[in-house]
Amino acid sequence: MMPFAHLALLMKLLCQVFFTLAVLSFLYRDNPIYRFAEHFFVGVAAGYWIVLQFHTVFLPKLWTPFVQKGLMGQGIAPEESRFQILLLAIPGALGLLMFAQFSRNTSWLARWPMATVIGSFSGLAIIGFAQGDLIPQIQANVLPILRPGSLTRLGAAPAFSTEQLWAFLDATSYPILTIGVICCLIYFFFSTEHRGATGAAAMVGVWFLMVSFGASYGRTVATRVSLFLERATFLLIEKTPVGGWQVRNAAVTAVVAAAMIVFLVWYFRIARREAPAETQ
Amino acid sequence: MNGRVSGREGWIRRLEQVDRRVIFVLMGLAIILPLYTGWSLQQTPTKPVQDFHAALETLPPGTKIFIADDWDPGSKAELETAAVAVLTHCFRRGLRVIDATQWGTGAIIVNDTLERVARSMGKTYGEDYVYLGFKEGREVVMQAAAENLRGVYPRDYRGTPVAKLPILEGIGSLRDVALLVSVSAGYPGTKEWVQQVQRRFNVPMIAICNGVSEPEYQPYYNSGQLRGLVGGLANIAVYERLIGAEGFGTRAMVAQSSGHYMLAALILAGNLFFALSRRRTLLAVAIAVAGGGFFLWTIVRILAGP
Repeated sequence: MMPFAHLALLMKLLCQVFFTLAVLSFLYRDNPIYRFAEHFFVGVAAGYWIVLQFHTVFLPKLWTPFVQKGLMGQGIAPEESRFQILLLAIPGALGLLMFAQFSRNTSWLARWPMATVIGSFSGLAIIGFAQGDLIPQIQANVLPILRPGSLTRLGAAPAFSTEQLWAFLDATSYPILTIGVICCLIYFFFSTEHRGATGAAAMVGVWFLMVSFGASYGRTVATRVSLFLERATFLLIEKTPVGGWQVRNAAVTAVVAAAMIVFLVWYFRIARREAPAETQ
Repeated sequence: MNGRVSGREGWIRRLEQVDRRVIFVLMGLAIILPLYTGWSLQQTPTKPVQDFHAALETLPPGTKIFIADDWDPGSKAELETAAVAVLTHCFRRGLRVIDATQWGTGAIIVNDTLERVARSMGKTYGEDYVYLGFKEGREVVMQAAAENLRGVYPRDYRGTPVAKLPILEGIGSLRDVALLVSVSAGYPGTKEWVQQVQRRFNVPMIAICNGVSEPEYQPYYNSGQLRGLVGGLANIAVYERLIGAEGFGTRAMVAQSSGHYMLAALILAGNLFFALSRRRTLLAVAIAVAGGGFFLWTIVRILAGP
């Protein structure tokens, strides 16, 4: 008889294959297997997050220190004071106020914790953005018109060679960056009507933005291809060690896919048979 | 409408209205079939990838670094591959790794990946590496860790008090680590580490991220805030080759490229049919010549090698 640990590994493999194929089945059309996987995922994710927040936030940050150290006074470190720990009642009360939004009469109370969260995160984000993003990026864009030495390298490169191409791109990189930054800023400057020279610069800015969006889109597609590639490798190429055996994932995939196809054919036949009756 | 369309217009219209599932099948085949070939692609490392490699390569053995593994199973394809490569590189170099994640859904997979690589390289938990796990709070946790790491993480992922872990001796905050390595799938990730920690606390930082995020992080590399940047599976494959640990990234490159070729071909075909259906022959010829030229050029480049 197969040991429980091996059975669990096999079940894990079956679940992985089933849910991957269930989600991919949406590519054919919406179907009950996909819906099942979708609802299953939402349920598992919600449960996972609740347990995670309970064990990583509520227990160690509020309940344990407040009850054990604040109320019972046990295990207080020398640098801590009981009063400081009892102050945890304030974030605890604010957290409880979040539940007030379930009733229409008390929902206004939930604005207080939301205001606290938004205020603190905004303050932190603004400082971080200014210090870590805005100022360094402005500094990085204060550049000479041409990269030092780039024209010399361009002149020294052999004609019509790859080296000359790279030297040319190197020499034009700073002017392109400068023009791009200025034109994009003009595009987002709405105090002046975009006509004449301003309009032309704004149009150049739009082209720069389009190139940027194109690059982002291309990278997004590349990432999606990678995701499918990983799943395809798992389903068709990899083997899973179960005890002393190497189970071929492709064999499990074939069995699960065949079962799903049979079910879907049966389901859509019934759905088609019942559809006219419903419409009558 | 009973009017018959001409032969050419007929097949253009049929191609314009092709079932989207045909495109899915074509894309699927383009990605799956190369997996059975065993071919590989040689790629030239770019400067950001070389800098990323150099940042880890130049650290002396025994140096303590912090790896922010901010990813989850949704980005496993790229970032598990990335994390395995980075950890392999670090352990081979004898660097000591302090690992943590800001992604609740990534806590388990990050731990599994770290343990798998560490075990395969005979590393000892608590001395050569430690996993601090997940801590809710995002930017707040990042900033707090930069000021007081032990205050944010009083215990590691296994529940051991951090005071008992030899690897954390002398580490009071992120300012005490030699390098911050961000393995990032999005928010919170590299951008937030740069904003909250790198600049404000002057911590040297490098990043390895998924393809979607790379254009967003490139300005940080250009400004010198990131000392190295590896983005997307293609660059991860290059990094794998640089460290001599060819993994999923390297194996997947032909399939990835084949998928990209198919996509580019479909986009070109779509534009070609659009031009033909509007009787813009000149535009159609331009698309065909540019597209054909692009494919020919890249195929010649691949056959010629790096």
